[in-house]
Amino acid sequence: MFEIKISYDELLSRLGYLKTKTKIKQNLLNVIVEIINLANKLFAPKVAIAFSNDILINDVVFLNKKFKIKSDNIKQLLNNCFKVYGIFVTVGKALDDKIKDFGKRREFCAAAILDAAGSVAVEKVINIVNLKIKNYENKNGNILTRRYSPGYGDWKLESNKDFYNWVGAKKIGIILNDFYQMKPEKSISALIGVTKNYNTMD
Amino acid sequence: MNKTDFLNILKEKVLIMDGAYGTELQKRKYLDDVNMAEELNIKYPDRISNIYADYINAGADIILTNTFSANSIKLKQYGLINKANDIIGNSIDLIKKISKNVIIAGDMSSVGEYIEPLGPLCFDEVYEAFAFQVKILKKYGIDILVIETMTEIKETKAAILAAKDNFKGAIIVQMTFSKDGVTSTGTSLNSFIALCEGLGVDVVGLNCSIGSKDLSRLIKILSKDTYLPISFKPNAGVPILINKTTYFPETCKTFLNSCLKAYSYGANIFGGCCGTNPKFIKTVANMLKNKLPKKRLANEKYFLSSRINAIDINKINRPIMIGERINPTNRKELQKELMKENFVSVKDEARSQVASNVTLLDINMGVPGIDEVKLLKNAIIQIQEIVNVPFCIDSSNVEALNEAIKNYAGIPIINSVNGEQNKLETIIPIAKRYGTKLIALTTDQFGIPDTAEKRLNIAKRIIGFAKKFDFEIENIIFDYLVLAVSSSQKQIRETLRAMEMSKTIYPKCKLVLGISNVSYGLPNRQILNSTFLKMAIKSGLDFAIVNPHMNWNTYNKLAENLFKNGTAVDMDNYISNFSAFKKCTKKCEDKKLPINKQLYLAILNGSYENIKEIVGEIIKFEINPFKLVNEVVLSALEVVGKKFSSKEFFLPQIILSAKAAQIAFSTVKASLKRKCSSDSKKIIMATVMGDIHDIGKNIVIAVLESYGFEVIDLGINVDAKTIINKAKEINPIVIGLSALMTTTMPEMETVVKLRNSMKLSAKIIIGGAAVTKEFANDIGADGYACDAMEAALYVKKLF
Repeated sequence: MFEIKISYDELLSRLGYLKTKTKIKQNLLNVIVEIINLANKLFAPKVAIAFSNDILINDVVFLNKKFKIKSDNIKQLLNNCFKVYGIFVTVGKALDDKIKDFGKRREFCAAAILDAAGSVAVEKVINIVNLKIKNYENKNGNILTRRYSPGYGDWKLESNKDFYNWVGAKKIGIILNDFYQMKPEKSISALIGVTKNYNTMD
Repeated sequence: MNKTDFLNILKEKVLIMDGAYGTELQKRKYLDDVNMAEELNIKYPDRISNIYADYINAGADIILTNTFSANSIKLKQYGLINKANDIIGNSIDLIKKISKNVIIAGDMSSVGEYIEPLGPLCFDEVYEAFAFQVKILKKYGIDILVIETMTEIKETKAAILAAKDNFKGAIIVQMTFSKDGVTSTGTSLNSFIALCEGLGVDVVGLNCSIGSKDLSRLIKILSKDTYLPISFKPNAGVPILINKTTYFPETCKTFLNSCLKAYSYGANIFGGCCGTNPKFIKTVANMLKNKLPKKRLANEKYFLSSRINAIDINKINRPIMIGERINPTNRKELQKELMKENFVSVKDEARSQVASNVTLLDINMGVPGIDEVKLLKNAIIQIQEIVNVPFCIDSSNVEALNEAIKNYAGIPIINSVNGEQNKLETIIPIAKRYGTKLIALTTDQFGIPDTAEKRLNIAKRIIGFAKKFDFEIENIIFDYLVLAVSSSQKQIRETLRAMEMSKTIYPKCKLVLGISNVSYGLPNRQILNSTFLKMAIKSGLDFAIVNPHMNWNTYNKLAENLFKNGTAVDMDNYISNFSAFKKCTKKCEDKKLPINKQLYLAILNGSYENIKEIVGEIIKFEINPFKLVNEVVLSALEVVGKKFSSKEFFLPQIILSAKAAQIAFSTVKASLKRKCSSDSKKIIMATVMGDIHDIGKNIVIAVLESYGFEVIDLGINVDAKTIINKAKEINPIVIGLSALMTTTMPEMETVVKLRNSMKLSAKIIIGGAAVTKEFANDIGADGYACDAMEAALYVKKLF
């Protein structure tokens, strides 16, 4: 468990606010501050990580000889990688429940702001995890590829199921529905490769 | 074991508590084949006995029952509510079978969801869930209760009250904090202490989740501010889940070092949370078991608290300002808003008083003819989440007070009780139960006594009742009541004299006055109020109930003479000097505008709170109100749209304006009893099958409704057949489809194809994060909208 707080500026930016152009009225400003305070109370970030040094790239990518990824994009990403991290993060169910609650009560403004707050927070969580892994690998002279998630490019969202099982994301309370989407909604799954090759992007 | 015995042991020696259960059960693979850990008590009791025995052998004096989540809410979720007696009873019996010498602690923790407004549960539901658990724990024979791993202060309050109402033994309460000494829901260490001490908890403690080193640092802070014994139950470091295994970084040695530090700060009980095991406990027991606890001197304090903060009143300069502006008395506009449970102005007033540096906020919801119980409770729930200062909860309605205080996330002041016996007998027990401070007015059924001595007689009576109900007298704040100097010149001196005498006779009791009364009926009230406040401070005033927006730094000799001497000459001098004084009144510009302009600005600014009233005026005076409202709303929305395009407005403003417009239309339609024709302006909206995201769809719905369309929301994950069947039934002009994921976008094409095969006339417009105009063209959709405003413009163009 670690703490996550988001700032007013981060949330405004997510909502499409432009410093030079957008003018906020006091009533809206009050609502936004209120929702940030609420959001910061509801975040309960959790992280699950798996890694594998056993990568086999043929027609498909095999991790640990079991987890199979059928994606040319992933093949390209992991080319020259000797290690792969799988990451699932979430900011928890309480936030999702509150967004739904606002929606039910037709408080769409509050729902939209809280939803944006959740998006900012979950991205912040995965960025923190990404940075920690990066720092750890850099110490050993390694560099990271960029992050890649099921549903990007030709890595099908269906892959999220095997990916989920490999990382063990159930342990942090993430559930996959029949369409391979995660609940809580403010969750992210991603894969990162580790390489010695500086030509691979970071 | 009774409470006194347990507390006496704590004075003499350090006790060792057990270590983790959850992580230990996982490690031993004991959780296979059960839905929750508590089910082991009846399904595989040996597994639990093994862990109990290991901790007892390691040297634990206190063993927690395996009932962490055995509250009625969790047991219901797992379908085990009918087995509650067996689950809880067995957890206790299993310990008794292993040892007769350990202290059995009934273990309780969170119900898993928050209380409103953070979550869906109400306070009473949570209280009942805990009370259910405590009653069974007590029935099967526990020695003490441990409430642990709590992260939310209102839930902690519910648990403590349920424990105290149903169990007479010692109660230990442990919350979980970040490194900064704040819970995940924002509560500070001092706010936690204030609540626990106020509610009569016996031991306070910290457990889980930041590792022993950082937790021991928090014990150092905690030990300075509480006189209660302290328990220390850290986890073995911040865990990380790697390759399906949870790793805890701490060793027995690092854990012991932290325990030794916590011991040096004065902690009395030592145990372990997640990641610890019998080896950790043995290591700690070898060093600390039975040691004499370190003596410590906690600071003298007088805490009032909110969810976020506790304020030590003893550390604040006098007078302590209590903002009086959240009070609807003689404020018709505010009363109207509160009748509709509209708390917007009240929230604004709360924020502005805090900005004017009040230490506390008085909350009064006494609107004639209203359900005060409900209104005051909801006001407390809403306002306490937007400001951090503690409250003074102000009502003469006992039930309203009780509900409001129960739902308050901290230790407030009750305003007020007086010297009438029935009031004392009903309100002091409430103050006692919730650990609040209590303003006591020195008046009774015969009115305000005319002399200081008589007011002190009432104070004496109040003290007597406080003792009768075991209510500590330092929690009483006397109000010796100030009357208007215009009508009762001599009374001012009596009030000040009573205060001075009270400080001598009852030095532990603090003093409060509602200052504004003193100037009633006279010019330049600010000068009078401020001058009187300075005099009252000299007489020992602690709290002043005031309008914080006034200038409290002014002083006038004529005013002082009036208060001190109260002669006709003094009054003449004051009045002749200030008779020309004119009160500044705040202008309400909007009210002066023509009504259509007011509506226009309200839509533009998204000020939906007064829309019904404005449209009501239009309905009253316009021959064709619908036409006017329609024209004004649409012209305002057009400007909103333009401002959105130019980025002057952003998403939340669009939604607020949409809400305002939607209320305007629904109000005018309702008044005209004009229903929408059955087939002309209906729109179906849905998130397509496979997609569970609804926020974008909901925003589009809000904006479409703001244009007066009737939108039928089919929800999320809706299959094509359902959408088209609904379209056949109601014949909408437009079907709006939303999809966030690239994987669910193809379902939109299915809907289009089905619409075509059914030859329906409804246009299909699509949108969503991954959807593009090209995709819309490819699948044969009629339109694409990149945001809610574009969707509304598309639909508008169809007319």
